[in-house]
Amino acid sequence: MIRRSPWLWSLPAVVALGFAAQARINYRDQDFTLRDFDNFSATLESDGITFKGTGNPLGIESKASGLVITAKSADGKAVRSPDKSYFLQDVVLNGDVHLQMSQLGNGTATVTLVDSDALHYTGSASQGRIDSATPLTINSSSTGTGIVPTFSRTIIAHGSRGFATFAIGNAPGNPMRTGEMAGPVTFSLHLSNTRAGGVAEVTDLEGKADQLTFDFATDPKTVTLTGNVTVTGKGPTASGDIAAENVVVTLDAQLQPIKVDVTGSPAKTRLRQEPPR
Amino acid sequence: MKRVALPLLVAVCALAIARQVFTYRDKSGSLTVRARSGLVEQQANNRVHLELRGSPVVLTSSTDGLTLNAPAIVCDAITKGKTTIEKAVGTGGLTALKSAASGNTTITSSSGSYTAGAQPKLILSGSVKIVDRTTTRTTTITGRNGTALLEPGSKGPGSGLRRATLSGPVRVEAVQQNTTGGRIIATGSRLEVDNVAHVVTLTGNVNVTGNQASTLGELHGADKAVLVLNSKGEVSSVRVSQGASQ
Repeated sequence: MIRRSPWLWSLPAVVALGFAAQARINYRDQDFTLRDFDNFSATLESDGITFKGTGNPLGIESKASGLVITAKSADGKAVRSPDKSYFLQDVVLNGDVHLQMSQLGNGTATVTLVDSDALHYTGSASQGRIDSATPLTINSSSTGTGIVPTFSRTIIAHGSRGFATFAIGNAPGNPMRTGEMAGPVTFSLHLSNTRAGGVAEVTDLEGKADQLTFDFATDPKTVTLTGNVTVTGKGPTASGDIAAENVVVTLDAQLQPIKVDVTGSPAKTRLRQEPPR
Repeated sequence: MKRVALPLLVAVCALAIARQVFTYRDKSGSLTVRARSGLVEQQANNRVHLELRGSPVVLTSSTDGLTLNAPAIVCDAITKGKTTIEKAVGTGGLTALKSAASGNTTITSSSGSYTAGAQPKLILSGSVKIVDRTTTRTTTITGRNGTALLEPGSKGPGSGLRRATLSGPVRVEAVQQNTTGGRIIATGSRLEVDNVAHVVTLTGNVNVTGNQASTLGELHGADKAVLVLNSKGEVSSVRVSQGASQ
């Protein structure tokens, strides 16, 4: 007599649950996917797809752009490139919007997360822009593994509204280009460089301001903080606190602070030199 | 020798009888019939009644631009002026060929009933296939049971198919505009072709897929899809809806 293990009886249920957990694809072409729309309307044309709908959450994915978006509603258009890949041209997203951009260029892998309750994304095959009139958080993490020094970097910024532009796809350099956030803004930068020999240099910077503007598209790269600025920094060569009206932080190619300009009145800066390593 | 010759003679005669074909042609020459056996009965009021059997029966009305093929056809025709089909019922596997100004439509079904009028109509039963051809494209529709509304006469616009409604699992395969070999395949539970409004509407668990040469991807599980056709009958866009978005 053959006795079946009780686990075998549960196998069909496990398989069924597996199927139930799979994403429901509404539309897919090449590397572009619209999924988990409960209500969905779309017009498919030769040059792309115009879509609108709701889900809990719905998903939008464009592998060529390195974009994965979840939200409760979306209304937008994706355009088909001559190489058949898709990019999002214009999409209005609402409700627990979670946007993830992944990029790989010159040995640097960057994942940028944007969270907001309402987001307007516009873009092309090479560039994207997000605008949010509601509180948003940008969290961008990069790791460089194929270059010396290897590094890991995390930039987090939170504001009550703002915009940011990004390079899309696998473009070289830092994908974050320009942006602006209205306050109250909180921000932090964590950077760890590991040089040959395994010695890690860690830089941490965090603070608050009424407004934050960054420009990583032009050299020198800068972060400009305006209004009620407080910054606390700790780096390999110096640490300190800043309280000022305006602060401009100049960064190198790896977005490591190389200069801090403090202006305004009153301005209070306390710096201490770190012991040599 | 005689033992062999007699059965051979009987077999040849039987074969000749079996192949015996009768043809009928009305005075105007617009209605022709080819059948193995049948009845042609001239009735009052300029009407003729035909009951035909063959393999198959071929009934052609050049005035209607219509040829019906079926193993059995019962037909009423109006013989006033040029003869036209008033009503015809084909059983045992029907093929209807409708000719028009710039194309033709071939409709096959298990059985079908044709009724003339301002908008000639074919009621189709069983497995149905409609091949809608013009000089520039071919659209193929399959389903089970339905109706096809045809253009009157033999010089109607397009392929001669005005509208069609099919139920059962349905499928449409159509050419996509501005592509080289691009075709759109859509499936669903019900389908309506409207060559006047230039749309094909599918409802019920609709899937739409483009072939390799198409510029459209795969669309799954929509409640409704509308293939919007250009003036040539090629698919220019697809509108879909699902859930409350309808």
